[in-house]
Amino acid sequence: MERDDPPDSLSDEQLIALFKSVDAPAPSAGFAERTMRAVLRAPLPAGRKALRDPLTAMFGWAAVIAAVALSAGMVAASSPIVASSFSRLITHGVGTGVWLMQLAQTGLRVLEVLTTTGLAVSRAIGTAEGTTGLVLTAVVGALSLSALHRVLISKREDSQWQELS
Amino acid sequence: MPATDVELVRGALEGAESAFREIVLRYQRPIYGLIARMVRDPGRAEELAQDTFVKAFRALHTYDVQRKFSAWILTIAHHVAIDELRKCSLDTEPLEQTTEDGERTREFADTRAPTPAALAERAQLADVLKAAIARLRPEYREVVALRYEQELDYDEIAEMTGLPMGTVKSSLHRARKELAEHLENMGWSATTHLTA
Repeated sequence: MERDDPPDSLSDEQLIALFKSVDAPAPSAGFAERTMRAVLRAPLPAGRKALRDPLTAMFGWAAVIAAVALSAGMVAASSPIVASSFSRLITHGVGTGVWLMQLAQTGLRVLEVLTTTGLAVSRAIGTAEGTTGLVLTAVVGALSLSALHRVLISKREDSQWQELS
Repeated sequence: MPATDVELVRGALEGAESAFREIVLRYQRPIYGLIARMVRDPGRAEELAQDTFVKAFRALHTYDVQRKFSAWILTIAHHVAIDELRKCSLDTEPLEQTTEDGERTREFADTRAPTPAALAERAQLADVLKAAIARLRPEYREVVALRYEQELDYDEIAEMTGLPMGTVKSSLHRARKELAEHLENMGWSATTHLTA
């Protein structure tokens, strides 16, 4: 520090203390933001990297990945092989579904008929008239089958005799 | 622990926006303060300070890490302000101003100046100091701002301004003398009120 100041002058230390005791001039609010906008707009010399915000970069990468995935999906969908395979898959899937539903419906109807018949038989067995009727039906049926058997045997014997003669 | 200037410079060169933002936040007051002291127009000083940061960013790859970053960026501010002063031929304002009715009045050195007791308030002191600095010649204003606001050494001031060391010392010597006179005119005594 200089100590050769004349009495009517201020010393280095006095002025340093004086400047420290007051606020230095400051720019207005928002100066840093405005400056950063100006800096980001400024053209860069060749070979220099542009400034980037890490968050913006992250969102940028996410947007790029989403765009690439979407484009790949659209390209695949527009390809004839992929499109025909896809439509065939859909057609077969729908056809199989309809067949399964029809099968289930038919099975339910058959089951319903069997259930109704079984129910009727069980109810008929429970009464005397029904039991008599069922026994008579069974007897008639057995006699009919026996008669049919005899007719068929006699017809076969007749045809053998005719062949021998 | 806050990043050093060199780390921030390296980060900005790698493209980290946050690194250069930190440089702006760290140096906005010194840069603006130096330019405002030199051009004495707050609005224009902001534009020039902004211009300084843009130039600094564009030239960041030329910064030598062996140098003090503050001196490097203040040198850019110095050149920006000097260019502006040359362009606009700005000089010190006259000590006297003429009112509408033609009466010549002293802007600051009023005989009815506030007493030193009244000037004890910090804001008032700042105003007085600002007015006293404003009366200095532009080259004196700059060395005063660099020496007492930015607290740079003589050799750093010489390097920044491109002036010989002897010129820096003599400029500061004369600036101190003139400041003392201006402050005395405004009611401040160098010997009784500004004792460090």
